[in-house]
Amino acid sequence: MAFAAPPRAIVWVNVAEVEARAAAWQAQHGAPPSPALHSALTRAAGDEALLFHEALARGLHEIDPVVRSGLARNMRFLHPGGGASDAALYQRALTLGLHKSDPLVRRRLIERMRRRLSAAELEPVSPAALRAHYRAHPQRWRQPARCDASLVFLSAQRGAKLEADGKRLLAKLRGGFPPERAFTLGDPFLHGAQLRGAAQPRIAARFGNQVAAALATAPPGRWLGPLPSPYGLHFAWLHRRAPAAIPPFEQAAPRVLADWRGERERAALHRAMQQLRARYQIRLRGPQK
Amino acid sequence: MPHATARTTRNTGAALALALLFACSAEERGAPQGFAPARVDAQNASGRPYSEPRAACADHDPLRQALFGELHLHTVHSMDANMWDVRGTPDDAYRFARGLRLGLAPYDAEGAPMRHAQLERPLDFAAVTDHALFLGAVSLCRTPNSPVYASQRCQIYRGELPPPGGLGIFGRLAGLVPSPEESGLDSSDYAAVVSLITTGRSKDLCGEGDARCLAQMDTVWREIQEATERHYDRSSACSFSSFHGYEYTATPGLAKVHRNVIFRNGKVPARPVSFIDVPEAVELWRRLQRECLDAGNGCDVLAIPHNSNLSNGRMFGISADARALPRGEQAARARLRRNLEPLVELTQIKGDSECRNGMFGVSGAADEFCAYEKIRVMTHGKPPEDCEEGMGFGALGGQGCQARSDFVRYALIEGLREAGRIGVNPYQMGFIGSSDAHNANPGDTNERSYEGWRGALDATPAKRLGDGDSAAIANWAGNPGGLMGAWAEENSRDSIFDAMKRRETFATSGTRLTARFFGGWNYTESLCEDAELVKRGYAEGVPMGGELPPPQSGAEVAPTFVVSALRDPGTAAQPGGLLQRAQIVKGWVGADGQFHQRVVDVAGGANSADVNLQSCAPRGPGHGALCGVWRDPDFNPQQRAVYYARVLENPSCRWSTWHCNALPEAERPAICGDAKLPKTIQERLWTSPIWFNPPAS
Repeated sequence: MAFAAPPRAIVWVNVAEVEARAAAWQAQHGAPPSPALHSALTRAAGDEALLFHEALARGLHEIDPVVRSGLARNMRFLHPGGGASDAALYQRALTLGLHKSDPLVRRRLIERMRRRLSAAELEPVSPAALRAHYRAHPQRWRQPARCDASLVFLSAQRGAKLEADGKRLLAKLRGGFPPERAFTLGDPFLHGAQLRGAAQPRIAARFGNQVAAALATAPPGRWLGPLPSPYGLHFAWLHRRAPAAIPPFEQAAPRVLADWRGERERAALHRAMQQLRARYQIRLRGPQK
Repeated sequence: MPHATARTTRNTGAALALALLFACSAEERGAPQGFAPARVDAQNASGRPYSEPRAACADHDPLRQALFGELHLHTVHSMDANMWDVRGTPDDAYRFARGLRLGLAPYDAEGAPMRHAQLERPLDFAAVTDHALFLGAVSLCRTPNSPVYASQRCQIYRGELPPPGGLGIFGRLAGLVPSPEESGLDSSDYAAVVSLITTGRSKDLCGEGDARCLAQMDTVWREIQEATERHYDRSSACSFSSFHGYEYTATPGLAKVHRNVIFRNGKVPARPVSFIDVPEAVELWRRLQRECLDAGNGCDVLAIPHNSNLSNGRMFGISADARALPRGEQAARARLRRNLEPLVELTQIKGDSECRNGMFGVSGAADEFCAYEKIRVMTHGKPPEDCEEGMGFGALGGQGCQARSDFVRYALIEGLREAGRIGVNPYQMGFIGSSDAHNANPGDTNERSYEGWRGALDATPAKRLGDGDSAAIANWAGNPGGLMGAWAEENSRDSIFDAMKRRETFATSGTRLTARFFGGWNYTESLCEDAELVKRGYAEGVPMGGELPPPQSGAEVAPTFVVSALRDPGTAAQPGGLLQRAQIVKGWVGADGQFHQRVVDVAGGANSADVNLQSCAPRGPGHGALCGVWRDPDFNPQQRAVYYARVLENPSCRWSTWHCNALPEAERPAICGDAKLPKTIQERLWTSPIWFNPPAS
């Protein structure tokens, strides 16, 4: 004999809440949210309502000291002069349902619920699990390629002569000038003329993208250029290039751990939110725009 | 150095075993020598010992490379950032510095940030410098199971209860300071709340003997250290250096006398020095001397003053009390300061501290380029009153006088005067630029992508263009802050820290232009054309931060300086600006006792470049590189003097102009059309100075 699934409980979201989010978005970005984004904001408001509902269902409002003292304080404000204890005032606030309407209590409970769900499945990490995570995402720990190279520079201040000077220089270099001394044929360059173990981003930062790109792909042992930069023309001799590599686990371990933990927390929250969404129906109420 | 070798081997048993393993496999794969990671080396490629275990850097240049970094940055642990819903941790800050994406306040219900930021170009190094002040209390008030979490004081701090006296958001700090009953002082206004800081910690919050807060402070400090260690690249790749540090936040009478404390390596004292425990700077230096420099465990440290523009003359003024001390004590304090404070922060989000025209007792032609990010002048529409030789209070509340010693140029000259008076120059300082951002976003200094600096408080363009709630600085008068450059052999902590100690650093207004600056007696006019300029610069003189040696006999009787600068190469999407001019600034004390300044263009000069204010596209001529050699025509060998270089880019749009342009015309706030808001700026670089002291002195 089959049983029908029990009807999902309804959690209500006020339209005004969604509209407040849309207004905040517009203040932030200077334009109203797109329809797709509006749906996302509605969903976010629904998720908050779920978190709040779940926090109450789990009785977080009974164990949270901030909620307890906040509600007692509200009662004291509403009925000053009474001699009741905090505990009694708190109980009275619950009877009146104040814990469901106070915005600070609501914000507090949502935040606690979110943290609880994030940490729910966070088991102590084993070295084996970390190693598996390391092996599963090699690109996350990747170190860039590195070059040893010698460079020569011709300044843009040479003006109209620059191109011809460059051709002459290249001919001389290819005629067999020792790469390490070749810079003496050019103009002074503030960042020097020798690269040792330099990674691509640092080469780009000092010599511009074209020099970095040439050194990233060209074979070693011949003159490259002319390579333009914001400063003029560069000529480069690549001595050797160490390819991009994944550092060994022991070296990457701290980053692997942080990455693993962050991923677990996000995944746990995501799964828990999906389960919550499946258990309840979200309905909008209030005047539609 | 056998000492260093012994220390490295002691720490590295396991790592060494691994290293050997890896070295073999690297060899088998045919990887070139010098690229094997996970090895421990006692010294770098120039033979200088490392102060802690690491592999020698593959990318090592004995003639030094320009590394860009940030040594002034706040995260969730800072009492103010925390109030502004900043949630970025030290880990987030270091990840951001390394080029990864960062979430910014405000946050939605799932804790997802509603804004993001990412650096187009990662930094080479960074330090997280959270306020030591209230480090423990903030954490106690933010940790739900702490014994005081539910207290009324923590609720005031978190904004769940209104602060006393209807104070703005800063009033929430009233939750952390001693109550009027505890201190006997009133806490009904902002100044009172700030002054209550000096009366000690709240017993309600911190318990007997402050034990609870101090213990929590130690815990948070350890957490920050752990993050800093996690992000230091100790492999030969040397991709990133992280520095341990914190901010010493002294604000007597609302005058800012703040410093960042930066350590060489992982050897740091167990507890940061807080203004509450140590209200005088001289005591900070003594503590650092005792707990770090004299500890004998490899600890090394320096302190970097910042925001002297908001110090009411207190950062570098010589007070009557100080002058009344015995001469020997004055000299001892000056030596302590000079040793511990080799650097000063010249520019940041809360304005520029280089110079201001028309200050008391300063002679020399006005310097038009001093009119740059003067936040007190901008915020209040007029220059504050001049303290002359005195001091004031209240800058953080937008009040009180401003002294020439609020500005670093005149502090340098004051240092020359002090050298004459007491025999020691306490202000022999190199320059850095920083952001001081509170969003866990180090080095986020691009005018075009400015997202504000204080969490939810300036999270929208409208808020950033508004006045905000600070009496000291209108939001629109703030800026994205500056960067620091260091000329270091390699990207390791030791190499960069050495550069800081010898002051071979420079400040920029946030862009990545670079410059070398050398001074000597024998440089020739043709140095700018010499491909070995840098090598000769070092060999025949001193670099930025140095002191000219006595002139050799037969040398010219005037020093020569060379400035060589390169524009910021920028990125493919956003090219850097062209250079307009390179200048040398000279300062000295005249026989009349006046402070003298002279500013000379040594390369480039005035040009027709400007900006299309509608599109922000730059127009007109400029330079990719500038180089100039200058001999001081007025050199007096009997007179102390200080020289530094300043390199200016062509004009470009200020962040506020980008913001105003992005808004539909009807929605632009009135400030967008107000003459008090500058439309353009000239991004710039300042090299650390070179000093001359007469040999006899």
